[in-house]
Amino acid sequence: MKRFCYIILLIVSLLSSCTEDIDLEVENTVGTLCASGFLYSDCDSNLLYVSQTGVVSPKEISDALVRVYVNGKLSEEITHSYSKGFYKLTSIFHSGDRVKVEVEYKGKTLYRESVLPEMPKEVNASVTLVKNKTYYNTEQEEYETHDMFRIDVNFPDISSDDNYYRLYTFVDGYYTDIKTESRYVKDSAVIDGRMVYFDKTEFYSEKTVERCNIYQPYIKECPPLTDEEMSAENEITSSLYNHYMTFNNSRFRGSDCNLTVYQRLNFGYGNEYPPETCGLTYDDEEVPEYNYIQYVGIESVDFDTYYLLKTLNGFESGSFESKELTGSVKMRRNVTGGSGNIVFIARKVTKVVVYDHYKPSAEKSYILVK
Amino acid sequence: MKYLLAFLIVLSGIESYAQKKFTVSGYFTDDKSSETLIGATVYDNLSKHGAISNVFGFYSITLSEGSHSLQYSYVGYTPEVVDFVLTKDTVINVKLKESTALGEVVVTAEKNETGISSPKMGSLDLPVKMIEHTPTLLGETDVMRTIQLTPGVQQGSAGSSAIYVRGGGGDENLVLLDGSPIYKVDHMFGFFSVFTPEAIKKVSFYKTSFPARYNGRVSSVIDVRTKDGDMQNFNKSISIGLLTSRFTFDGPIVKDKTSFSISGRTTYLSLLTTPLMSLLKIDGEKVNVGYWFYDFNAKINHKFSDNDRLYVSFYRGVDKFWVKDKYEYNEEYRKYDDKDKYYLRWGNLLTTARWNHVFAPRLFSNATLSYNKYKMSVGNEYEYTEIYKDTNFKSLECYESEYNSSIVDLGFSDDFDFMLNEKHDIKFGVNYINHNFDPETSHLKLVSKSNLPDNIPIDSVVNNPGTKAIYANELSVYVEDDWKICNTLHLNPGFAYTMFSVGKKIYSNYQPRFSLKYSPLEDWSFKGSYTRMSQCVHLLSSTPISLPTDLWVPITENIKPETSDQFSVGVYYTGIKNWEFSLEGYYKKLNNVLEYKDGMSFMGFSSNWQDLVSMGEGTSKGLELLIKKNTGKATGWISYTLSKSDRDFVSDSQVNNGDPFPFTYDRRHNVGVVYNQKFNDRIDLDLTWTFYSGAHATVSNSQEAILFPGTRPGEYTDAYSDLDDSYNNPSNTDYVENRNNYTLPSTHLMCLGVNFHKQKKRCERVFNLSVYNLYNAKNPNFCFSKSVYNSETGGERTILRKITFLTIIPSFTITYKF
Repeated sequence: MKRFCYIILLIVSLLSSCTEDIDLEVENTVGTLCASGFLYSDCDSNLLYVSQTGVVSPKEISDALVRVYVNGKLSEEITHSYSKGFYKLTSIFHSGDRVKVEVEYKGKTLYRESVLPEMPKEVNASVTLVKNKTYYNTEQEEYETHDMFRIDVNFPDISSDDNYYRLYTFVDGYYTDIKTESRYVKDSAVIDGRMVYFDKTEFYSEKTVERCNIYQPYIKECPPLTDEEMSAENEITSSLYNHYMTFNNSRFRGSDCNLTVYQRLNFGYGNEYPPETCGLTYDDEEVPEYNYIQYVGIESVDFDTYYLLKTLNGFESGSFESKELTGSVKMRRNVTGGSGNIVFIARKVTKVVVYDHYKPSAEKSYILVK
Repeated sequence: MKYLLAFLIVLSGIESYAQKKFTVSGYFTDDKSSETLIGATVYDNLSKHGAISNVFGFYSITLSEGSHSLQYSYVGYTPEVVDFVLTKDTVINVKLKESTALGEVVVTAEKNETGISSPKMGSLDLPVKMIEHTPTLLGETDVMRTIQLTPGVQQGSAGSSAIYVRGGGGDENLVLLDGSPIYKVDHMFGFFSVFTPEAIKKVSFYKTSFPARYNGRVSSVIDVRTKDGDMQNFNKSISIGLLTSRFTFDGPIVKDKTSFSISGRTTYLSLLTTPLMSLLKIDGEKVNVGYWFYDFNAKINHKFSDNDRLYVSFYRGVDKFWVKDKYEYNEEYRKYDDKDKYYLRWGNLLTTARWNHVFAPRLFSNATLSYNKYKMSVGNEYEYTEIYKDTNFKSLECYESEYNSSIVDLGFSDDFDFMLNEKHDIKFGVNYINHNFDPETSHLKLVSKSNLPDNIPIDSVVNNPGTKAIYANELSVYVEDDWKICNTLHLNPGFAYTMFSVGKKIYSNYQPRFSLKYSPLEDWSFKGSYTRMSQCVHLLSSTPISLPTDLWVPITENIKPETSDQFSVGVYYTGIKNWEFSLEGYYKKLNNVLEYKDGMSFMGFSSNWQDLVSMGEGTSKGLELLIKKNTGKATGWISYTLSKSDRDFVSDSQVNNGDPFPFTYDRRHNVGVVYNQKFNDRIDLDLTWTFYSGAHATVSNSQEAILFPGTRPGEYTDAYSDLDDSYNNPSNTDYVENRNNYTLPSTHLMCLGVNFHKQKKRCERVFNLSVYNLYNAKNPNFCFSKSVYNSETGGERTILRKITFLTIIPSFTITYKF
């Protein structure tokens, strides 16, 4: 009996674990002016986002005064946002320019002033198809095998000083498809000598243009891009993924850099609803047509932006989600007088046309099921 | 080295001859077990000179030729007086009997290196009895939790056994097991320390006035010595508790020559939780979560002669945590099994061999060879089998992967005690450690096969060395003198030099240490000290709880060693019988202390970790009051600490915009009360109460917008919304103005333990009943901020959610001592 009482007492005590909510008495930071933007050299449509901190979510500001100074001279003044707190900056600035962006709202002013980083000299890229590439899908947390496009990039380091970069890839890919839809049409038939009207399902198909699915580039075999994570295939603790493909020149200081990433695209193969199941077959003009242009760019950034991108990698990897354990993490900010990050980037881009109105029927391996 | 020894022996001979002095030396041992006694006192009643035994129980006292009356004493033991005429160097090995009169719950204040009569400050000896009589969580007596009750020591998060000493970080404590540093000092994510209480002989704790022989951490030293083993009789004890069971077994291999001691502890938490887990199903899958740990200590002690002894000790401690899930599905046409297992395993392996040699009555040496390994593994085993019943198609996919991180230290040290005369006790030595940091290695096995004719089976193994192993060498030499200038003035100057080489970089650190005691009156002492320490390894961690994935890394070419400069003053009073009073003040400055830069945290990887952190300064100052009652039926102490600790980084450090901020465990007021009452031979009671002002946390009460780079200029605009929606809308994140901007609620806790002793025919039985958190205080074991609906305004408000899971917890332990 005593033992039984003891066990009951223990269970009761364990179940008495509790939570309690108490008011948080910290400095009220609601209403702090924030401005963020990734501003590119030689671009006439840079966007700046202006907001204020809020209890549940930030409040976008559409009537702030934004001034842009290039090399000490006022370049433009914007009084209204272009869209939902975004301000379109049309001032064009170049590598080496000293640019100041100033935001004023209800008596509060913040600014960021910096010299634009040097532009990469040149970027060379090539794209090749690699069949049956086995890799670890971080999102699905399992190994997968797919045909992937291998992107090889080469560029010379800007100088032998410490330089910071970001590899950017952009896919402009689409294909034509036959979309099968159903619709109800009125029909009639004579049954037992009587005319009967009823709804009938009718299938029809039409040619559409679909964007291909673009997956996160696979970078695990590229040492410059995997500095901050495990270079092996072991993903168990690989909580950090170099989502923004940021890197420094510690591995190629003053010389050429070679990068290799794999891009997985889905042009509609393996659709769950293949057209042939509807009794349709391709004729020549229905054979899909494929377009795939791969843009590859090297962005030169300053040290501050390099670490901001690392922080954002942490965000994408969920590193700051366990607030119960780590508490809130104080974010980086590079503006004076408020919060946010206004960063300046010099980007050199090259374009690789992989498929230009390509009809796979010419390739046996790409013929769809007829 | 041999020339130095010869010189010292000759020097001591010349000095003795000139003064007509001789040396009495030997070992203090327990009469019953022959266990050596650390910190025992020998005192000449005629010349008023004294000495204390070192950590191996060896003592040496130099006296003038003639009659002497030496009193040998040790708290808890009956003093012994030896009268004799000294005409030559003499060896007296003393066996003291445990006192039955003083056999009550004894909390000692030994007059030794850490005691009130020593110039050392901020130090404390914790005998096993003190540790055993500190009631703690689930009846698990714990070294660290006892230390938490002493002044100047902060607890980590409520309920944890982590310690933060005088504003220092959690990785700034040098924890030594039989003289060798141990890296992972806790089990169960920080709730229990790795030390099995029954295996411990003595624990010395230093938070300032560090003896020169201790190097490598900047805030404290915890020197744990294990039992040597009884040279006369076999002893056994078994303890059965709610969470763990323990055993010890020691005895002679050859009487008076060789002894052994083994002890172990293990938990059966998984056995208790497995039946509950079998009921648990998540999405149709059977999930099993388990945890297990054990400690094993073994020691052999061999006495070759009065001049030579050998100790070989071994420790192994392992924790394992796992999550298994299994999904079986049997369909009409197919059957498949899906098994998944994740595990986390970590542990220490420590082996030391120590050789004591008495070169001369006044020259004692201890040479230590040590091997120390800490390893952590994270693994995943997955297996998927699929069988189609009609076609007999079978497929198998499985992979095993494991990520490892380890540190291996090979160390050698040689420490000498040279008792030059009654005024000078010189200690010097050399210590070398070869560190091998292997932070990240991995292993992967992938198998995929089926019985289809065109199947290409995959069976591959990838071994990845991961981050390149880092080799580092740490060499330190030291010397210190315990100099009794006169009856009222006692000085302890010391100096240590440490050299740490990593890669192509060599760091040198000069560490002067200085302690002074002035005793103008018999019962009053005034002390002052200055200590400089350095640290060449850091623990990377982002969470307040102890996780095995936290990584130890050495300093690099960019990250300099952390150093501390500490000034202390204190006044001590022992005028009331059985009572001690002390008041100490300190100012400590930490240099090159590390903090993660804004927006950075430990991601579980060591590579490029130095890019994520900045170096800055820390300051800590405080007052510590200790009132202790040492003997009698009621003993215990009250401690109070008033302290303040800050961190300060320069403006371009990217830490808190260069503004100073409070240290996480900057708790203004701490109170610790320990009360031990012996009612009679059968019942004694232990009570502790602690109060901590709230620690600091970084919390946010607002949200700010954060943008992510897109793929082309203008990516936020609607024009590209069909490309990737994630680039259109800024995300929200917590807005924090300053780090550690919130003071958490205070915590207070009372623990009670009652021991019922009963002498049985063949053994003694001790039944311990403990209650943790006696009055069920709702202390926050976890806190986090959260936005909730505000019914008054209809909007939202940010609150702090306190989670308390260590509420009142009764427990018991039954111990049989044979």
